[in-house]
Amino acid sequence: MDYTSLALITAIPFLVAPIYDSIERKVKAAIQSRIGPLGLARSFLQSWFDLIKLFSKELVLTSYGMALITILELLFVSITVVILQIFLITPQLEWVIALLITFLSISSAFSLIRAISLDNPFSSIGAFREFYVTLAVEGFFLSSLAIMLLVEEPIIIKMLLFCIAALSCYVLSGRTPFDIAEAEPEIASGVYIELSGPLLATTSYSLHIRRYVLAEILSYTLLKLIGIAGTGFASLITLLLTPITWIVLGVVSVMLGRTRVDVGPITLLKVMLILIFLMFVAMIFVVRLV
Amino acid sequence: MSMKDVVKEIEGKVVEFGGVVETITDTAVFVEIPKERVKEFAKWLYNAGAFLKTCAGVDERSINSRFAVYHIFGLDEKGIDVVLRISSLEGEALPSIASEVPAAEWCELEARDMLGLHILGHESKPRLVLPQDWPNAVYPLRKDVPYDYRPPSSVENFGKELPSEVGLPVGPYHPILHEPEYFELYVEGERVVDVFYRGFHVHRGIEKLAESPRFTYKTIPFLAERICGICGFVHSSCYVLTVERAAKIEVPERAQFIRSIVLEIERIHSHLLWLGVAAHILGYDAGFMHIWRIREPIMVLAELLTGSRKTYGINIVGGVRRDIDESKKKKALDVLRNVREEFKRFVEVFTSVPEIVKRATGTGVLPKDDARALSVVGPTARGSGLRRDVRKDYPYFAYRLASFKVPVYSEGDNLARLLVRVDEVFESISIVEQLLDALPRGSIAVESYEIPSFRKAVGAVEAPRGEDVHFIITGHGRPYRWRVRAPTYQNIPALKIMLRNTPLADAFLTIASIDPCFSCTDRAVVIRDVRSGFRRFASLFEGRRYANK
Amino acid sequence: MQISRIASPLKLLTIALKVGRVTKKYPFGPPLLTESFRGAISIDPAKCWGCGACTLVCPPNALTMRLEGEKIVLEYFKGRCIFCGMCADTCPANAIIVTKEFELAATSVEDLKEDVIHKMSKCAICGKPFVATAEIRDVMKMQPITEEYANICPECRKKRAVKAFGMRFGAST
Repeated sequence: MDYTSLALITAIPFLVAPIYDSIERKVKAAIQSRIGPLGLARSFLQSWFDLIKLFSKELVLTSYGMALITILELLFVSITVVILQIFLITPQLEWVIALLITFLSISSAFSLIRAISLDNPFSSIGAFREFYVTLAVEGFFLSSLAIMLLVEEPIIIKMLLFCIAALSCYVLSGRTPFDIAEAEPEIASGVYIELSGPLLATTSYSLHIRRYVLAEILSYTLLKLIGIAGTGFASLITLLLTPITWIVLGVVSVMLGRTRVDVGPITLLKVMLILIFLMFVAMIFVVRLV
Repeated sequence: MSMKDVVKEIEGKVVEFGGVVETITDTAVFVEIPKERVKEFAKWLYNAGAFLKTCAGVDERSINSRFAVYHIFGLDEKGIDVVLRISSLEGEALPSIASEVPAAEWCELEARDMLGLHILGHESKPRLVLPQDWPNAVYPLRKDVPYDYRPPSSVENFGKELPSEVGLPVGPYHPILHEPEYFELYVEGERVVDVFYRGFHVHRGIEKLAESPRFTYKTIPFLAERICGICGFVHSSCYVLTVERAAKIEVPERAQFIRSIVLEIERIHSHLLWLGVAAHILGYDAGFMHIWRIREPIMVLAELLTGSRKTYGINIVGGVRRDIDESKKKKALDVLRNVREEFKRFVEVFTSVPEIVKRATGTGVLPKDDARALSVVGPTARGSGLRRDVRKDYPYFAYRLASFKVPVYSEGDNLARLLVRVDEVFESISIVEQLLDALPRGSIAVESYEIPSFRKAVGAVEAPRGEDVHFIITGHGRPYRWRVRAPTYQNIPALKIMLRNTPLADAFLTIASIDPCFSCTDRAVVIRDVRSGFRRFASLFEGRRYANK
Repeated sequence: MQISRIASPLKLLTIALKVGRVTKKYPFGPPLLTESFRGAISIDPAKCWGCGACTLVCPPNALTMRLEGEKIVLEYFKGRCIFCGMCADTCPANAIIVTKEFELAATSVEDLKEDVIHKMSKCAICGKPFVATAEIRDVMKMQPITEEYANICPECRKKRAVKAFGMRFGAST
């Protein structure tokens, strides 16, 4: 594969993530009986317009560290998505998988750091909420992803792993009911409260790319579950499947309300533990069968 | 016991306490009690099942050179108001009944602030109504203060009252508060343990303005309508009801029906608005959008019937200004049928969303005894098992002729208050349908009327948020004193109990669950709650001090 | 039963599908008003008498009347108007009608004000301007009997009546 197509394929997420977000907004609007962004161009590009508008606003810094962390967050999530695209081209390289998982965890760590670095009560509350949610799923997510990508296992275990991965992807994408860190009507946008203008644009761009990463991972694991991953054709399918996954996640979020910090993470943890337990049972069953 | 016996019993009791019965009307008994014994009498009334509606301080120096305080009690079961008058010369002390009737604290503080009355037991409490920079010896509701008086502002007085610890500030501007009000929540982890509350940021002096030469009996309904942005028609209806009671004006039956119909339409749209907002607070934005979509035809219907989507402007003393003809009636029935269908279908979805059920159940609990002691009103009372509804207890306008249920839930939590409102939407739709079908013929307003001076009357109308009370002493051309008690005024003190031990996430829903309407209340006080529940009705200001011990 | 409860939030999709999009493309498309809507008022200067009855009933003082030299100016300030239509109900000349106009935003306050200027009639005796000409004209049309004293100001009318009264009882002036 030549370098042009490599550059092209790594550039895709940076361009399309806000477009997918615009489409999600349009679909959500339809479910809420609204029109949403008006016109053909806005239907696909509204989030880009928003980002451009926010970038053109004046910069207000409540602390200098915040700007640095915001930019670092974008940087690390960008590295993650680049590695993900490389992985898509060369899925057989194990060190790429290791890098991918490392950077996934680093980038989510940075979004936590951004949240707690602000001296604002609403932001602190939001940060702690994000901690709980991330703690409840992150470990399960990364380990199940690693097992799924590195090891070939029987279909039943694959399905359970996929369930864990899918649930985690949904939770980590910060959609209702797990947007408790943001929770606009409760804690006035929580972790985003002190962000405005270019900083808010940077953060929401990071969020778009993060959602892209999660949607693509979910699409890839779906193909892996079906058993057609690993070919060039499958990579193409993954790229095409990503927007559909993205929108399905969005549609699910429209139909739910926001959870509470003492309910949501604990329920998640319970579900995760049940899935892990089922997996153990399945493993024992499979071993005895062999 | 019939009405006559009740009045007799009250008369007997009044004589026993050394008071006199001033006047007896169909709906109210006005008595005067010596101020030394008012506590005992208030206690007797309270134990006999009366709810405190409000109290009103009046500067009567131009009539009898005294200041008076009127305590307005309502015997819900009998449907009769008892108005106690106590009076004093300038500078003399008046007793407080707040120790016997906890709900009286706010209005007594207000009388102290606005009229400079010396009410025993309230001396050391901070200001309730007036801002911190208001000059010391100026009492706005006294007749010698001009209505357009503007004191010079002194910024250094601000901030004296704020507590030293800093909690989580909610307000004056916050996404869930539609109006400026200040809450400070003290949290442990994500559990609310205490709350500090300061309001009255948007006090507009409407009561004073209505007494000024700027207004007359005829134009005050339009002013009253602007007390509240959502339930404005309730206020104008309550005002005209009170004036009509004071002047004994017989209002044509058709006008009574039209008023009831419009009031119910207002209730439907207000409840739908609240349900949408509640959905939004719970993160279910689709619910917000769809409920407001269902609400839209109701707003258009209101415009069709009255000429305006809000602030209908059709109430005048003696009747209404817009008639409902056959074609409007037909359209209205169509709209209501559709709204009922759509709302029914959507409520099924709405109440099955797991997060909504989970978060509303068991949060913001207001037990029945507390609800009784604080005389809470409206869906807040009905969600706590109190069967209070002015439409049933003190029938006014055409409600006597409609049959409807009063939904009551005993759990006292946010879900109970939510379900009360859902049920009431259906009840209101049915009331409007019944009244439209039975709309009598005739004129819609009386030709002429006379309003004699110095008559007193109490009127109450069930607003979407609860009982709205107006008290009027008539004067020449305009009221001598017009006292407005919005429903939220009565419900806010209950928040301190509801917020105790509530998860922070649901504190916002709890605040919203009384459907607060701050600018119509516009009153606020420092509520400080005690985590342990120790001294529950201890003075509202002293909570934290006791908690620290 | 349990499953149908869990699946119930999904019914949102069927509702949304059935209802479609309800957002109106304002300001394009048909007007969103009903027949009884009350908007800004319009005063017909040809019919207006300048009597000022509307200024007395207007709750927010959106209609005011002032003297400017020898002219009476009836000012309508839309910024204050609450669109109640009391003035239209009261107007004895039916000069005020309630329109359906509601897009009233303007870039300057002056654009929200409308003036109806009336010339004032001078008193036939003392020559002081005292009332709008249109009012005298229309009152005389309605009540022809007023013709002989309608153009005299109340002051002079009073003086004249006192004089006539005095003459009857034999006062010497």
